[in-house]
Amino acid sequence: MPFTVPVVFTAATAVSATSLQTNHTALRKYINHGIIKADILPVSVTTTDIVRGEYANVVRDHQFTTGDILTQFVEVDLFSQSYATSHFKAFDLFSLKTEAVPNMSKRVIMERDGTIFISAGMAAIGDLNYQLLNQKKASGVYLQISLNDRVIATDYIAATYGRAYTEDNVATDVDTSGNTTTHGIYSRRWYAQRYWRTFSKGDIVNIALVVDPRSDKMHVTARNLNLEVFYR
Amino acid sequence: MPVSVDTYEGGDALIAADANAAYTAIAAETAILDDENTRSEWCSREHISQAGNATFNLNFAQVEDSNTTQVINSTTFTQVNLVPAFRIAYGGLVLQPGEVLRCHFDINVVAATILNPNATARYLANDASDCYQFRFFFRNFVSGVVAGFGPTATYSTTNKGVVNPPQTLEIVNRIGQRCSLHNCFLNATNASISFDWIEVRARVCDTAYLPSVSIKEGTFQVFRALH
Repeated sequence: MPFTVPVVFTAATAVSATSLQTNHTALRKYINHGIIKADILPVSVTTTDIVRGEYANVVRDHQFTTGDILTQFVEVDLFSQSYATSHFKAFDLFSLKTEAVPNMSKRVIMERDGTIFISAGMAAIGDLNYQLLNQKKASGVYLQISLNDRVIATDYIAATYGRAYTEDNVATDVDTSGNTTTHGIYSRRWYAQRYWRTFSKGDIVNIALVVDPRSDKMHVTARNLNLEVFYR
Repeated sequence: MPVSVDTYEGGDALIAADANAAYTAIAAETAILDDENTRSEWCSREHISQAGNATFNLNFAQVEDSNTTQVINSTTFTQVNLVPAFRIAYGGLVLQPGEVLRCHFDINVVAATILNPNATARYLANDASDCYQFRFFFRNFVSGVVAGFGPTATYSTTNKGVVNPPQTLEIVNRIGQRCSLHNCFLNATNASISFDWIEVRARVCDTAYLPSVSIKEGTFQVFRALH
């Protein structure tokens, strides 16, 4: 709403103090509070008006469609591999114990109540190894969510379980991959997972992709992790 | 653009035209000031009320299960049901024109019954006989019509190329695959769409070659993304 002059002076008419003061007052009110709420009409706030991502390295997709993207990690170099081993397990090679995949974890401190939507994917592959045939199990891949500063072994989410098979050159399907040939490369599977969970303001959320290695040696490659945070 | 201001000194005559000039200049420079005259990104979450129709997306739903194994043995799309069923019920979720519904589904195929492995042609990459599929379905809350929407995810239980190399390759079964299906459903029509429910369905393509697959450990998310 443009400023409207209350009193317009005319030639040969005395300019009174009251008239002048009226104009001054109107101008002061306009500058201070004259741009009133009604000037911003209903439905006039569009997506371009609303602040976008508030964090460094944010991909500027609109938050209503995708949420604020707090982390995006994409590793497409197939030669960039991270290795894991089952030998960190104390008593056997195949009990369920997890370790985090490098670069596939993130800590988020919630500014407000909100929902974190997690998208993750990677190739987890069991390498040729030396363990006994009956211990060549399918390794597990899980999404793990831990709250606050305490990470416990049972934080992995069972419904996000994916399987990573060994590429051993044996014709016995010991890892139930369906592959009964000696071509171990047929045992490769891609893991992809989406998941969301709602958190409260102040929650410290640790999100990680973890593997439960059940072979001497396995590796992870072609990783991506994407967190979208929908604050309320 | 700054507005020019006349300055007066003691003894100057106050001329109407001069007095008017300052206000006229302000009025002229503020003529373009309207509801659009706010800088980009002026509005943050703190400015927006969540009362009534929420501006921010609050509509999330998720189903997950890790215990139950379901056998899919029909060529007709059948509801994925790991108890709970992979159905998200709304009873009339309205998707306005321009709004997006995001659907995500992930699950393992942990076993498959594969027959006639010598029928090589049925296991080529361009033949779907050895495949299983997933697709989203929804029921229109107003019309009651049930229909599939979005893409159909097709996975093969074997691994064999279209062209046979000189040597005879074995047919390699592929199970334990983490399967995924995703869809961003944009209401590109001029009318709202009302969802009664959305669910995931699965089927096998040809029971003569793939009588069944077993699925386990799945997650299913749907959320409406306001535009």
